[in-house]
Amino acid sequence: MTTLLKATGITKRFGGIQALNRVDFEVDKGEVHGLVGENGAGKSTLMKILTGVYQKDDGQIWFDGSELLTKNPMQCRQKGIGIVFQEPTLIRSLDVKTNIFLGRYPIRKVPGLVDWKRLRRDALVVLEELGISIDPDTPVGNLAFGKRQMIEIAKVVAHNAKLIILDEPTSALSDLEKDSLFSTIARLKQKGVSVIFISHRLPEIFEIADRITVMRDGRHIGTDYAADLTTDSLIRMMVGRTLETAPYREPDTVGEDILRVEGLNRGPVLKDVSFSLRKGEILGVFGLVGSGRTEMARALFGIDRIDSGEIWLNGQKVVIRSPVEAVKHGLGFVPESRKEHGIIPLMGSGLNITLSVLNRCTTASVISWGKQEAMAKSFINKLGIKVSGPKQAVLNLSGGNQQKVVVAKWLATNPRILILDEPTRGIDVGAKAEIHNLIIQLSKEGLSVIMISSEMEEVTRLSDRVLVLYEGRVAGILNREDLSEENLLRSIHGHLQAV
Amino acid sequence: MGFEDVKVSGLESAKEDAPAKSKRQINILGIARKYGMVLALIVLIVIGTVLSDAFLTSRNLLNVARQVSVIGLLAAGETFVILAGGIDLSVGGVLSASAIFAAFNQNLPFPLIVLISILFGMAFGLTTGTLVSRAGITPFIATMGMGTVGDGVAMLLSGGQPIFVNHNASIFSTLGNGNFALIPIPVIIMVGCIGLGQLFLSSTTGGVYLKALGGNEEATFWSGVNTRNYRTLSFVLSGAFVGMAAILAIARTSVGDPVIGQGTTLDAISAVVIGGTYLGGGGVGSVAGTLLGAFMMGIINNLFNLLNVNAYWQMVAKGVIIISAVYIGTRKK
Repeated sequence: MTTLLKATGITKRFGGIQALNRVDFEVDKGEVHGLVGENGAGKSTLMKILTGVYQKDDGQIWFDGSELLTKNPMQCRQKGIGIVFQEPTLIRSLDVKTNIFLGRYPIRKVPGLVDWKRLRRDALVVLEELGISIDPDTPVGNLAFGKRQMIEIAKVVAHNAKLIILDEPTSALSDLEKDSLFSTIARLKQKGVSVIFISHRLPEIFEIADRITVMRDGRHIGTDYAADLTTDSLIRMMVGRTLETAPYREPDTVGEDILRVEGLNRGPVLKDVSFSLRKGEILGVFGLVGSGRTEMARALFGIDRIDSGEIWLNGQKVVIRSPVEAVKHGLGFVPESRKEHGIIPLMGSGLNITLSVLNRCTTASVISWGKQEAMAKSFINKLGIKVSGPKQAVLNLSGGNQQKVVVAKWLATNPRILILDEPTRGIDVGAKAEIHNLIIQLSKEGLSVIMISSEMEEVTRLSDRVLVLYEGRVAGILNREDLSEENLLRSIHGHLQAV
Repeated sequence: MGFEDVKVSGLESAKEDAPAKSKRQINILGIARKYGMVLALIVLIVIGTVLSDAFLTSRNLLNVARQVSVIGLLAAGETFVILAGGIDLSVGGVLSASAIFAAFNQNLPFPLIVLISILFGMAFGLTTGTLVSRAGITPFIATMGMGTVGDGVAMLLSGGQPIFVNHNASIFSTLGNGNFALIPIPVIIMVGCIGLGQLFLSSTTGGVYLKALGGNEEATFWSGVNTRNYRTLSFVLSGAFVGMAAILAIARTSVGDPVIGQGTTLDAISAVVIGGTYLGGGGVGSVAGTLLGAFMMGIINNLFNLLNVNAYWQMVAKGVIIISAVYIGTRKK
């Protein structure tokens, strides 16, 4: 195989922090190259240098036979380096074809007039090449999350990319959607396109990558063929230490019903959803994207209004119409999207942590900053949040630490029920294990947890019971002893057959 | 809760050295940001001193301060709205209406006039805030509409003519033109009100929630904060400051002028932005910064006058300054 990309001695500093320290990195033509490392290892910085977002301080990059001397993302894209970010970049109101060729529409003879027929034809070609069966005239907003990600990839491919960087592409996908993503990647390989695949999910890396590179603390730790590595050896390289893995949960700590939900209905997204939650229980919620997992939690937390249904807390019927009321009833909600619903980016991490309990740090609504800071610091310590101090803006923290800030915010309220929506999405293995242990510890202390997750391993590992949702309905509830990845999938398919 | 044991060993070592470095960096940034404003003010004063002999006299500077007091109060109120991620284009219209309303009720006891003027402004703010937070009308449109309503109310109450203040005339006059320990009384009132505003921002839950609202409204809502109420509060506070400004505006001239507010809205917004509050969300800024911003605007105006710059050119220059300030603010963000 020929080398497509060769980066040597890449160094980058941000002020006093050495983000990248003489990193070497190589990708062959037609290779899927896995890139792993904990948050803050320097993966994102390296990718931003490759795509022209940052300029390197030192080092050389060779791409496709010549030195890469580009100064901005546009030039990099023209050279054939494309990236699919975690965050969606599609315009929802425009259709698939218009999104794929955004900014490069085929023009008719009269300048300014778009050749829509050719645009559609070209889009079909790209979609077909990738094995994506989506009508190019569908508005992107009508597509499920997983399909949108395919369109993101198609958009990059349409730019004639020779190297495509996928940054955590599977974090929002269900396992089924992941499979179709992987078949798309396989097709890219056949075309001779190289892929850098960044993920925190190691089984996926092993499944898809030819070679794997590990980074840690801004350094290149090692690169090897996936076949020659094991999960254990990889984790050791990533963390430079052995990890405690989350133990399976003792099933005996669960108490009486604390929450009972009966016949929850909301438009087309929730249909007659009923379930119960016991004290100290971890109730997993599993389902594909669009199954109503998040919608159920939002309705419970008073973010969305329900059409009908009853919520019973501790044997009392309650009505929750807003997060304000949910908090009063002792509910907490760690949302799926940190950026949108979790953090206040420019505010200090300490204030973010105490935001929901600020009124408990006051005398006559004047804040006692001493009390506030002490509280913030105690949670920073308890969760091991890496910050320079409580005043450091959350924006400047890594994804894992941002997530811990959001979790800390809810723990500070001392909730009775904590809803966690994809609690470990986009988080490195170390932070993930910490959060898993934390969830288990909290449930032992009597906290009831509703954990929404699209990761089967996470669901089977932590849950006492699992509520499976399909298209807004309860497809089944699995007990501890029936919990396995096969059973989870079977319960979804069982439901499919019933419909 | 004792979950210290969840910490994975090995994290601590990394934790030790990183904070020391980044802390120093943040402090330098913070200082630069804080003192950048003061620095700019000093540069302005130096330029003024070089360009005009009449500039650096206590009489001139105190006069600038006196002139700034009305805009300073408007801008202080505007700060709450902008900090919370909104914008208030109604302050000019509401100022006219409040001034006329206060002048209209001049025969009441003086403290009562002040009170009802403030309440009048707050009522406008409450209406605007409700339109924005409950009816979901964007602040831009809601406040522009309410500002026009204010202009209309001023005209209706006054018949389009200025209302001269005959009752409480001496109190108004002292308030507008008097001094206390050599410092103009309107300046003392402005600084006092701004001090209260700053106190609210920096030491109450409401202040933090307003910043949170500007930083990320959704996340604030999800955190169990009643975002609608605090959105409304930002406009009510703005209204209260407009009501107070109206009293000072009357006091300066002893007249309730139905067009006193014309052109003041943009001045107020400029002072806020020059004072370092992020326009269009972010949740960063302070009322104290706005005070500096207002002074800078006042000094620039004063210089133009001392140097006999054509009034029309002054308008052009002001527009350019405002756009530049917003541009710099955007870059910082």
